Amino acid sequence: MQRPEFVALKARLALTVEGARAGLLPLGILPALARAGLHEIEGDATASGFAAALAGLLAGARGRVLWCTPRVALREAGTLYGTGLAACGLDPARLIITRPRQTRDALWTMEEALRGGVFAAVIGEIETLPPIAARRLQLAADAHATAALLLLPPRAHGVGVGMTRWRATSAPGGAWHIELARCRSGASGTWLVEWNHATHCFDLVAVSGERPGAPTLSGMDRAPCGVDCRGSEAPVRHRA
Amino acid sequence: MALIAEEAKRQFVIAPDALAAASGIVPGQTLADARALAGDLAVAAFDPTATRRALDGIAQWCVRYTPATAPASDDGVFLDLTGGAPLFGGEAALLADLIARLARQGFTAQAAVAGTPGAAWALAHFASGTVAAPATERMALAGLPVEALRLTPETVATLCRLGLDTVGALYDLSRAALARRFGDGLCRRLDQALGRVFEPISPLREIPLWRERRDFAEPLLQPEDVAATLHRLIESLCARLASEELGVRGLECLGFRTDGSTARAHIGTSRPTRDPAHLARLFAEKLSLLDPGEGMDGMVLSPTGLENLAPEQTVLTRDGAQPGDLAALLDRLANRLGTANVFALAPVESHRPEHAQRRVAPNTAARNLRWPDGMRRPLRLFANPEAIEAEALSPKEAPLHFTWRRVRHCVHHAEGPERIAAEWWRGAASATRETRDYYRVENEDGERFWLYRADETSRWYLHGLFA
Repeated sequence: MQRPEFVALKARLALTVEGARAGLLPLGILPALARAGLHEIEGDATASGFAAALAGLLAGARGRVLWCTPRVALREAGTLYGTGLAACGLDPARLIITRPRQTRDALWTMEEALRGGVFAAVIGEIETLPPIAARRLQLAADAHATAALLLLPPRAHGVGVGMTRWRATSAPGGAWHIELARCRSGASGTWLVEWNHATHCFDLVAVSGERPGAPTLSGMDRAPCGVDCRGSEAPVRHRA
Repeated sequence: MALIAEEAKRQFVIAPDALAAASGIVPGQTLADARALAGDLAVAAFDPTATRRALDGIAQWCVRYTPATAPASDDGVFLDLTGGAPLFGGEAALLADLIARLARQGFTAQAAVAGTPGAAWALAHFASGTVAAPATERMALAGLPVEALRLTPETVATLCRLGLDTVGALYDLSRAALARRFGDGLCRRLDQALGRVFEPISPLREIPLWRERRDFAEPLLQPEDVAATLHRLIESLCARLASEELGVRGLECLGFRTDGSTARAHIGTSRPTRDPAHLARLFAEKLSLLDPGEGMDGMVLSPTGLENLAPEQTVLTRDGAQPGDLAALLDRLANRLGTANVFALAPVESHRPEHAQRRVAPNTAARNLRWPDGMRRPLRLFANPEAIEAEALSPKEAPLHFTWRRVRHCVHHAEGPERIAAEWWRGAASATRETRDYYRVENEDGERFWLYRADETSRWYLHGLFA
């Protein structure tokens, strides 16, 4: 009889292979992310960290990332800090930053960068996104197999055209509270995770009663987004 | 008044003004000696970069006389007047006009006209105002001191020791003897001054050789026509560039409107190119600057930088419009957003968080940069730390509450202080002189902030946000 860990590992491996074939980026305990398409991420500074981590994973060792921070975002949320980006898994050497003056220029930059086909991910901090602009970004991202990550301020209205919509907020103890609020395939879920800088993956934060650090089975056999996503809907208890 | 510079802990006079020179102050004197001659001598530090900038500015301005102007040897500007002087009433009139106009701008200029750059330099420095007739350089220079040949101070000193203190004294010596005693430098300078070897001047602007110009009998009225003409100009320029194996680093397009105004658009590229599609695409963002208005009756396209570009190199640069070309994309972004707004980050060794990184050009492929790790630093940093209201039990403790952007936060957890001392060597800006005690604090929702207390003022600031 096979040990349960082994079964889980095999399942995870199968998902990784299957995911790569389907243009999906496996995220471990989180549902896999489509490499091409528009993803919305809403939240505070944690959303920046989550976007940086996703972009780092999308870029891998050779890809490049473009981060578009309009002037107003720099004043509101601060400039990107290399040491902090590296700590979130995005090597600053892989990153090109643009600083457009207006939203119009920011949207143009994102679309141009998506169409360029030279980036693994294009991150944009856009305060208000007209639906037509969002649609254009989604089309450009789709056509050129690039991930567009839209960083929206907390409680912003979603544009509703993206593949997924995430909500990333801080949780006590350095953890991130990640919610998949919408996914084209209907999946959703809530996770309390920690970015593991050493292994470059998300670790599930153990809630009280569980051994810290040990990923649960339910976390490992989760199907990629678009297949079947059984995220825990129950509120996660923060660890003490 | 004199300009001074410091060398080996001693201050030297670089340039005295007319009044100081009248008291006997000469360049090269120590400041102490100069003060002995004129006790009330006012001094200012010599700034080479500012001087260079001013010279560049003058060279730009001189374009009114000829397109070929170049700053020369740190203290002058060369103008290539070939064929252009009659427009200004002859060389003498042009020279007088140039000196008078510069005087009105506050510059005392020495200037001369001669058939070679070397002779013109010599006359401008030692016989200002001279216009040497063609092929009379030999005669005009004969009486000038040997410094007029742009020689090294050592060579000048040796020549003077040998009693050869005028240019004319060198004419009768055998070249072989001169070359043996002084090396090639002296003979080359002499040949350049006398026109025996050609000395190119490197103009700031490309001389009109590479200009593409179109004049229209019927003024253009539609922006589409302007765009189409621009494309034709680019194509014809690129075809010529290809035959010479050259590429441009930038293009300037001037449009002459019938009302006498000039429209101007400029693009730059991060590396030399002669790809018409790429260049046209860069101009696409700037077409609004070339509005024909009431009508445009002439257009000129000229390169603002030419570099060698071998045919095999264009294989890399040709596909401006095709995906996968990072440099072409970065050019387009930089042209619309401005070069300073497209950048990458590089680490800098500094204790000061705000100095620990700098912006670098995005394609400076200096990769494998080492970022300090393990340090608990925020993801986002405020360029200007934001003042906050904070309450702490004692000045040496983390705050219990703080108010940032009118929201009150309760501190649930805090780490610190991490003391970051002043970088006193960074100069006088007060923000860099203070010592700061940094704290990582977490509020009731788990949001993490980077706060510091300025040691001197005891004021609290929020400097960054953690992910």
